Amino acid sequence: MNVSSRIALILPLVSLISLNCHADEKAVSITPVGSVGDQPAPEFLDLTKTIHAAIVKKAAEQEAGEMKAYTETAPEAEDAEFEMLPIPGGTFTMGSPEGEEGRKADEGPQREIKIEPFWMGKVEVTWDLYRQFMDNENLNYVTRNKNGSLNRDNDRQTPEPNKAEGDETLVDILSQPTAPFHVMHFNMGNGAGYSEDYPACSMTQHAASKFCEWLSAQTGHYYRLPTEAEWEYACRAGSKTAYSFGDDASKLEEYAWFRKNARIDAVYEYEYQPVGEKKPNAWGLHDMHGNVAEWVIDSYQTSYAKVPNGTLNPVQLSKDRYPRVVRGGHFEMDADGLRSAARHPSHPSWKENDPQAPRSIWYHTKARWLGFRIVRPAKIPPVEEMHLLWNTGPGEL
Amino acid sequence: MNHDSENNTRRSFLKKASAAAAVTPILGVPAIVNAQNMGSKTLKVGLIGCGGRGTGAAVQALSADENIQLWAMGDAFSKQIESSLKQLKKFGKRSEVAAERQFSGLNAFQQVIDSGVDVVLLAAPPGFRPQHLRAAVEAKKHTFAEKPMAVDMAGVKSVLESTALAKKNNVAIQHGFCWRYAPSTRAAYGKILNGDFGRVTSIYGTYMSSVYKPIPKDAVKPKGMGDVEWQVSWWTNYEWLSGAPILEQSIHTVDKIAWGMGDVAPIAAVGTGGRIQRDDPSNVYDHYNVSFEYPNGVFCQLGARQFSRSHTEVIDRIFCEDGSVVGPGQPRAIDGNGKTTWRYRPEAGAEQNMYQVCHNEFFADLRAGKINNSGEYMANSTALAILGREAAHTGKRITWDKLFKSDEDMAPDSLKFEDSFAIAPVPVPGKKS
Repeated sequence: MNVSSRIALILPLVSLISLNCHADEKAVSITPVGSVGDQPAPEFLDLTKTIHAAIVKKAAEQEAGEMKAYTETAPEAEDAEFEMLPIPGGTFTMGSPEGEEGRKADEGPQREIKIEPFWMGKVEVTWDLYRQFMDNENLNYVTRNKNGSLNRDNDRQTPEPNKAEGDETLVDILSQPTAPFHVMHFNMGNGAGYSEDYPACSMTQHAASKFCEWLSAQTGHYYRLPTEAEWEYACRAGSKTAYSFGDDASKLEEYAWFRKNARIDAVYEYEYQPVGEKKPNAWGLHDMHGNVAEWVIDSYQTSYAKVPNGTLNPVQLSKDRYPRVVRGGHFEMDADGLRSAARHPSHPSWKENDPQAPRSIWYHTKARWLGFRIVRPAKIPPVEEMHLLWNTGPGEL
Repeated sequence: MNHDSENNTRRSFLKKASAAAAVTPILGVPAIVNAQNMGSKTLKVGLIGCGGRGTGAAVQALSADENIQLWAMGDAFSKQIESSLKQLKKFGKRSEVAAERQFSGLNAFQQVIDSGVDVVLLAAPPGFRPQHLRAAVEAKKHTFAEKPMAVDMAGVKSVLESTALAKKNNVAIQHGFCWRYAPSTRAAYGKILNGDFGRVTSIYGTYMSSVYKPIPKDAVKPKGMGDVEWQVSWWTNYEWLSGAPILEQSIHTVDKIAWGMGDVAPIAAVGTGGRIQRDDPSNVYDHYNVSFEYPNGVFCQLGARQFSRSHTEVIDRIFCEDGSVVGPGQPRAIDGNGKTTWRYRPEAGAEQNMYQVCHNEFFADLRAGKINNSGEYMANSTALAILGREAAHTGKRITWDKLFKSDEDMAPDSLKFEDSFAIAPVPVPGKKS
């Protein structure tokens, strides 16, 4: 599909991705299917513009070249490091064939999907990277409004303008989680609190997106959640089988932590495991199958019927908070749920153990098997797209 | 820190009220009589304290069965009622509360109780709990009371008297020590108390979290606002309202120590604590380490703190002769070699949300004419946390018996929003306050 017909497809769907912005239309890297409704989070748009400008500037200063694997440091996460692997662009068949064992109806109809190049986290986001964002603690006891903005008027219900004051940095004023009453790592991992190399868990999709914004602001690179198509493309790594390594589920133990092998048998061995211990797929990605399930951006639609064949990086959007999509299955699931094409819709019950009303927009208190990994598109999209994909919104609380 | 000079302190109120109640045996109307009108009637619920937790409790009450109507609401601040109602909209007519039954101010609790309700949910700051519980029980309302039950020993004694009065009045008291309702911890503590792992030899429980709703350093009371209104609006920061973090938050861990020990009385506590990170205008400690001494040489340790940028954990380790149990999340037992010998597996289809279990059981029992009363162990767990706090405050070894001789009452019940009310100084061990 050429660019102009792609744009024609976009326009009736999302007016957000406007053509009169400074970036040229080729930079639009997703094809929205459906809409989140009105422009999301207008109160944060200025912040997105600031971050976008910094990312564009940094890219201009760097020489373009071949995409390579790299390691990045997050200064605001006590210099935690994370590795990003290049994922080449290409075309793949999304969804599973009807004969696949364990297949569900929502994995079709199969679609030919085009994907542009991006980098993807070699492993799931770990606590050592996520923790500082989640706690956003400071010795001055600055508190956050309900929407995550800095609380300046001592009323947490009302958000205030997002302008830096005094020595505050851009990162300080970004929306970040409110302080939890209970510890939200649920003593997972090594059993004694935050466990650096275990996947961060139990966050909402909104929290994961805001983390990406926070990480982008401090690194100058554009990070976001993967689209569902990007995720499956990366998981398959060229394969067409049920799992990235083939159809034989008996080999899954070599590649994944799931119900069969993630059992506890020692004091500090909990159900999920440190990232990167199992074999990677053909593109070097670990734990795409199992360990924690991974957020993608998309809302959950019961099929791919609305996604035309040949679409470039589709993302199915909805203004509804539930259901959204998680992928890859997790340590409490059986093999079927870990297949490359398997999709899992989110549900309000994932917040069930939150005793407060309204429930927090940041935590899925009951989904301790839920995590995410990040991507970085090779092309920097227009500011509107960047904003949209960081703000598909907390939605209904 | 005493305010005994007031005429109407909680303590003097107690003396005047009903000394008889405390010794009344469990009699009252036979439960079956009660059941006849409770089984299918619409139960009218009054919510007292409409913050996040109170609203959450209302959600659980309304979810417990179809025949429950939110009838009245009360909060110190009317704004809270508005936002609470918004959260409850999904229940449609069942959460529509007529404007004349929405009450604000410090007397709202009495107005809710007097509005024709059958059941009240108490979720105001804990400093008010004994007063609210007393009023509810005297008016013969079945009551759900959030934790903790009190912030001082005058309050604990009041709760014990209300407990006895509730038995006499044949009304139920349900508590909010949520882990006592979690299917997972019930299974674990059931096995511990059954002796499956041998005798409990020690417990180490932690509640090490970050700082929850601190008062900003630069917070300034608006001109014309009374001390009391200001402090109530920042209630977690003041001991007379929240009891401090050891009562307001780590009481969950304290309560599980009590549970693991079979809710028997301890002998004494020794502890340390203080304010090492906090320099805001609150008067609460930010950390405590307490050793609770129990009969037969069993010691139970509590490690509790609210620190920024530090290790956090909330873990109970119950050491038994034949292994130990680790919880509260996914509880399991391990033997001396670290091998897991038991772990909890959720029962398919069983309600796992402990907050919902609490209300499901509360209302189901009411419907069935079962009048439960958990006031005594609620009061004991609260007193256990006070024992730890006072040991840390004073630097002394405080015995359980001595604690119950204390009539400390941090604030009179008669306070009004506009009153001046100086914040008590932060206790320094060894120094008389």
